[in-house]
Amino acid sequence: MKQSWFEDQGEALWREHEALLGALERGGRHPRSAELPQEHARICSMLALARERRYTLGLIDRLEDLALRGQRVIYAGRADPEPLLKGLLARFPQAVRATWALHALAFVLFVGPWLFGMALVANRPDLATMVVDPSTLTRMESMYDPSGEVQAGARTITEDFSRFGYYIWNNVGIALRTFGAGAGLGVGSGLILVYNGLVLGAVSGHLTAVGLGHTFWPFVIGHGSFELTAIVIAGAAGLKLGWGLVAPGRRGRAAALREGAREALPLILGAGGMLVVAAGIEAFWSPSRLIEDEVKLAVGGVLWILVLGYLTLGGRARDAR
Amino acid sequence: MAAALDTRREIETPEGVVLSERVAGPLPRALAWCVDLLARTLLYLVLATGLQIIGAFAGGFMLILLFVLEWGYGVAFELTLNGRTPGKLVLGLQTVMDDGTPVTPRASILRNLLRVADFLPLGFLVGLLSALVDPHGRRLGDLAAGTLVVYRRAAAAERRPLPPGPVTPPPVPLRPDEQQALVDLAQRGPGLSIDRQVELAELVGQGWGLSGKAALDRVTAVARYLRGDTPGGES
Repeated sequence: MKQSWFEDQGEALWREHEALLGALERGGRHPRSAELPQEHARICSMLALARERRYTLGLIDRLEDLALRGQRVIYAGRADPEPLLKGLLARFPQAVRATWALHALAFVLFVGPWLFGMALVANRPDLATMVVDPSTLTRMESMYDPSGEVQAGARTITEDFSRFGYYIWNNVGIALRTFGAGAGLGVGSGLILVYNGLVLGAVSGHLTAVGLGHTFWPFVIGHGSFELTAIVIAGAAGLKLGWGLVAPGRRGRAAALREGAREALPLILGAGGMLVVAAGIEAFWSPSRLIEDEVKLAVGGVLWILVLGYLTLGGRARDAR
Repeated sequence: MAAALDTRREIETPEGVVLSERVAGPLPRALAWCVDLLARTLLYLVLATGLQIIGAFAGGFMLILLFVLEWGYGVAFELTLNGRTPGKLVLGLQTVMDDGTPVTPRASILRNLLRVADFLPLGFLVGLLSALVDPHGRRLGDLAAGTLVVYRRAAAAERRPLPPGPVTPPPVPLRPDEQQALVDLAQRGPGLSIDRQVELAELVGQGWGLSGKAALDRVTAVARYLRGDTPGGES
């Protein structure tokens, strides 16, 4: 069949199909929506014919454009049928348990350097400055000094709110970075975990050594339940990414990375949510002077039990299905 | 066809035809990133200035805004602007899934979070290496999310008929690909200068013992025949 005849026959359909696609792409409705799949199939077979018969490239391009736009409209979301946040409260702890070994590894990478830092500083207080610079240590000391500005000075709700914003920006940012860096063979996540563990160990060890532990520990126990757990989870999610590249098993490395990322996504979303909660506690509850230290310690303990209980028991009913 | 030479990614659809996307290389993507950085900074400055009206709480909101722009900018634009951030819009790029369908929320979040790994150790070195090694120019984030960054297709040309004129069958039998090349040449003609048209037509005409304007006229006439045009003009 000659090309000009083919064009004469197809022109009306192509124009109509283009109008239909245009309407659907803009998210609107079209009276002929129901005919889309049928028309798309016809366009595709016409494209195949046009190629087979070596019609001009301009015509092939036009048909290919129509076919590609049709493909986009018809198969949109095929790769991702489930809504992102659906059932996340149950899927999050399930995902944590499914990757428990990586969580154990992340825990060791984080808590190990922490304990090491604390032990080191307890024996040799001067070594704290190897990890944290002296000005930070001095600032920390003044922060937890019972008679200092932060602990005894007047606090306003706006200051608390500024701090809330800072914790969101800084802490959630660190967690997301810990996760993202994991795609570098997991090394990035591991380094961030070790470094943060070491810094926290040195700071907490130093504050305890200089006798400020009684203001420090009641302050951190509350938000620590959410924050420290979430950091370990974000680290494990990052290691999950890296593990796919290091040991892809029977898949290609790209496929392994892709699968790992899919499984790690609920982890990082959950960890991010936990850190937002932690930021709220750290900004409004932990520094409050209206609450006795004993109450903070007790509530902090309850929060730890709740968080760990949620992660070990949450979503079990759905597991069984 | 020309997959080895062009930066094309071929996608086989359930309908059994092969569609192709033109994949973007590292340079246009880096430029798009620079435009986005600029746009993000401007957006922050404008919004942060606007926030000052609410007074004392502005400080906290500004930090939250900074967080949202840093991590949510790419995702928000990719999901609302059909896979395009302002930078990609300027450079004519678009993020799509590797089967050509629009980018999904999961994929967009993953590819934007993993930009951190691509940035390592400095200045997107990992991402650049990955994009250079991968045949489809994907950085780690794209590999993990299953996405591609492609050039947006230019609006397809409408039907381009040849000007009416004589119709002649080819003097020698032509292979299908030769026929295609010949009609393409005739149809592209109006976009070229007359000298260039003659020059190209002579390459064909040499074999037929023609030169100059005669070669061009003959090539156009044969193209009309191959297309199936009637002597009276475009049918």
